[in-house]
Amino acid sequence: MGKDLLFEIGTEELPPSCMEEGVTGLRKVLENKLSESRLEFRDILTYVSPRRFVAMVKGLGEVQKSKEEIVTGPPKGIAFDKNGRPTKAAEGFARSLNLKVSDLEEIEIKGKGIYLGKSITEEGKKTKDLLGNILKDSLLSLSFSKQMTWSDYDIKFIRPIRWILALYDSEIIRFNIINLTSGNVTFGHRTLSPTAITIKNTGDYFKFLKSKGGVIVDSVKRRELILKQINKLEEKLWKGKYKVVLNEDLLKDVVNLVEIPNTITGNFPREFLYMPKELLIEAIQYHQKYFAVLDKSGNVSTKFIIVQNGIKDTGGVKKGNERVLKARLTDAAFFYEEDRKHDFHYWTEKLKEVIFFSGLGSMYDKAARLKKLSLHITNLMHGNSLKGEEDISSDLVSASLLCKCDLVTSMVVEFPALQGIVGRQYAREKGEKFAVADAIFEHYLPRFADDILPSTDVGLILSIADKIDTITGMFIAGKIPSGSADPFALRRKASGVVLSILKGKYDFELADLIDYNLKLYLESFSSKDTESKIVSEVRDFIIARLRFLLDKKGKRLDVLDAILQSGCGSITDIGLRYAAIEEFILNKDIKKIYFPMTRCRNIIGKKEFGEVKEKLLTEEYEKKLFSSIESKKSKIKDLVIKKDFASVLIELDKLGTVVDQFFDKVLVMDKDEKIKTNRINLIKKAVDLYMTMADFSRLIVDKG
Amino acid sequence: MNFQDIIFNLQRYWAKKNCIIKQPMDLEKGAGTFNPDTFLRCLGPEPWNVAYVEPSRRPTDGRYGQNPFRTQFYYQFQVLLKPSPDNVIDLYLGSLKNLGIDLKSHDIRFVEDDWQSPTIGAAGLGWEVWADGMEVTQFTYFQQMGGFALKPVSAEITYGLERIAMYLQDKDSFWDLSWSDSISYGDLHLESEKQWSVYNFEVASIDMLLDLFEKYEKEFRKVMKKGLVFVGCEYVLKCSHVFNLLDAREAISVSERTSYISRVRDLAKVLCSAYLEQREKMGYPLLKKDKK
Repeated sequence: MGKDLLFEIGTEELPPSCMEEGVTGLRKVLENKLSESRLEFRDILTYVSPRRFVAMVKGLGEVQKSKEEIVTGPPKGIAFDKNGRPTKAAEGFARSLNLKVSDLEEIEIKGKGIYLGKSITEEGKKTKDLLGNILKDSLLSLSFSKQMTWSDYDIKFIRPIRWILALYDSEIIRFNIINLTSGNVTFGHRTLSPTAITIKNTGDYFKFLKSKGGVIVDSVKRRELILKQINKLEEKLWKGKYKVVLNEDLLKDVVNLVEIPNTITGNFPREFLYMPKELLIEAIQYHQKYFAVLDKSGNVSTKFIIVQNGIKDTGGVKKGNERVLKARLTDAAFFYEEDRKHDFHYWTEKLKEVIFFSGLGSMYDKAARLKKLSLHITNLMHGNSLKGEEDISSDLVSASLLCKCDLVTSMVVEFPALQGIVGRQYAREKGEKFAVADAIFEHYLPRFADDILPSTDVGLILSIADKIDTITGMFIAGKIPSGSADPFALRRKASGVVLSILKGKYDFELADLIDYNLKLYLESFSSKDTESKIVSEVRDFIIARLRFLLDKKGKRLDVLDAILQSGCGSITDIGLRYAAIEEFILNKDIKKIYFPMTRCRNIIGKKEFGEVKEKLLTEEYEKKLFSSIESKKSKIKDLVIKKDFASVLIELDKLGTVVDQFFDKVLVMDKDEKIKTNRINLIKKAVDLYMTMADFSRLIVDKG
Repeated sequence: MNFQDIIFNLQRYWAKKNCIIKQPMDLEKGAGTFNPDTFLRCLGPEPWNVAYVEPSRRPTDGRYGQNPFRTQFYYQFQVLLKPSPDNVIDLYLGSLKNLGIDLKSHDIRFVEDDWQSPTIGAAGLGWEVWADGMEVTQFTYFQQMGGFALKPVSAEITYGLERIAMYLQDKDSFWDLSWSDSISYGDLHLESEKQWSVYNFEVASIDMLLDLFEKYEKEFRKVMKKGLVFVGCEYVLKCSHVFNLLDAREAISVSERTSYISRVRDLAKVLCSAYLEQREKMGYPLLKKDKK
């Protein structure tokens, strides 16, 4: 049961970027403070609009839960003298509780003995009497990544707080913070309904704010309304001839920039349509937060959508926004024209002045490294060469030297989100090969979780090289991610490396590439001490992302760990082994590999091992095991090179039978030390053979 | 409303709200913030409410007079309220209303725009104010100046006068604005805008500017040794403007850029610290006046 508590923190206009942080924080502090105060509630719902954070605590009990506490004093032996009379210690303790010694009880504490004490029950207080402090504490402990102070007050918040509404059902919860006293008054739309609105009952809040204040508090509803309005435009007015570009990030922003959305359509002059599509769309979206509109053939039209804050437009709003967009597009066109005066040679020179990272040279240096690094990737794959390798190599050389150039174009300086997109556009305009132009864009992929991956070998390889180079560089600079701190998004980059390698099926040892990358850095920039460690650290960092990605897909991590024990450090190779083992587990009996290998592993321990001496093999089944290992060794080696791991597993499956027979018939711990050692060496050979694929003894297997 | 009338209107409005109306400073600067009436007065505990027009220069924003509203020279109307009043946004909206903007039929929006000026170690949180999409004002709660945390906090309201005029006069370009009934903004400023754009981007003598920077920096150190804070302030501004010109001439590489910025910031820090000390020694005269 219980009643609802409404808590509204009225602020000046909030940055959209902080809103999620604010409502999450508010829910958390309220949960904590209410629970600490032994108050029961059903649920906490939170809302945010540009001028308010709101929490609605549903079903908040009217009385605090009572608390039983046992207070203990001196041990019984000290509390009473030989005659059983209370000592000063006992009397002092009783006094501290405002009780007589005769009121106290004997309490047994496990393992310690009997003590003098008292069980005290604290009756629950009325919720409404506690809420003032709870809400005040909650507000004061709410913190943001970016905070400010205002006027002469000693408080930090994301923006100035201007009113506080605190209502428990219909009762005002009073408390004071800085110059403010909480009350039952809220405010609606800043300019359309500037007068205060009194809320008598929590149930009236949303209703009154909408009807009297012209504000939709719930951002989900604001979003729905925007989409509904856009949908109506597309279907009713435009009859499917135009389509709005619904950029999700932009939509999120826009929802939180208005308290009541109202979309209107504007137009800009046709003269700007000559600009490339993506540049034009970004220029429409970036500063002014308008939605671009495409025509039926997918080209940018002169229409654009303004989401404004609930004003009934008499023409001024539309006209004003049209004027602004025209000026913005004039500026974008100016940058575009400026860039057209230059070429990649000019930009390449400018890259020398752009620092990649302090102590690690310029972006030009990075581009030069990328050239070598990406070619090295193709070299590492010599065994199974790429289709059209010559083309790929020459495209990689061009693309790596051009891929960072757009960072110094006016267009990207003005619209940073266009990095890669501008590069691709300009490369096409300057007559570069399409494969090269596309790779310039694709080398930034994936930009975020679940983003698309590069579609070509050139794009994939350049993307891998760029990300490995950044990760290795940051490790050299000591900027290794720890905990949740990953300012250079190295984890995301490492995930990108893994996904791109898997997509391209590139088979090379990560360590070989990282080692080469490190050498490239060290040629130009001396590093202190940790060089040798870096290769394995970076490799492990990337493998950890493979682990993360597998885990996310619900894959078995014990299988991955088993494979890693083989020492395999090629992402693709690991992937193939994983698939084979997964398939085997599904269709065959993995125990037939697991148990024999585990038996072998357990018996050999961690000693030094020597060669097997054939003449010391006496019994039939050890001879059989020996010959079986000998015959499978080269066969399995070939299969591993061919990446036919399914067949490796079949061989190991067969080996299992021989191993089992060996253990059943042969006593390893022979009295003769030489024979015993020889048998252990033999078992070690079997273990080695298993280990070429994986350490199967690490699998989690149903032992039954 | 003519351009000059907008100035009169804002001056009268803010005078009524207890601001003193000051006149611009006779020195090149990038914004009204650099005027010591903001730059220095925002420091320390003394109350301070001021409004003034500030002609401002941003060499890199020059567009040879071709962009309808990007120029290397423009006018700001600067208001500084310290401490920031609780009803500061209402006061601001009142000034728009007073200019004849009907707040019920226009979309006025406060869009997050945290401001910082690394050259003078200043930072603040606030918004750009949009009127039907047009950025007409920068609204900032100053948090830091010269690297010093500010208490009390000032509210800085910076109107872009040309943009407000475009909006009020329904014009698409600075140059078409009427300054008075007979003279346009273009009559007054278009030719000089073209000439300054040429100068800033193409002509300014790089060697001279580099030399001036060194000399101004040196002069700053000299006058500060004598405790001449207000003189020192001007040399910080001169360094800052010379740096902006060098930037427009693309005479400074990216790495040098950082070092120039930190050099100016160091000066600003020394200056602000000296100013704070001086006011303290003087016993914060404006604090006493406030109490009378």
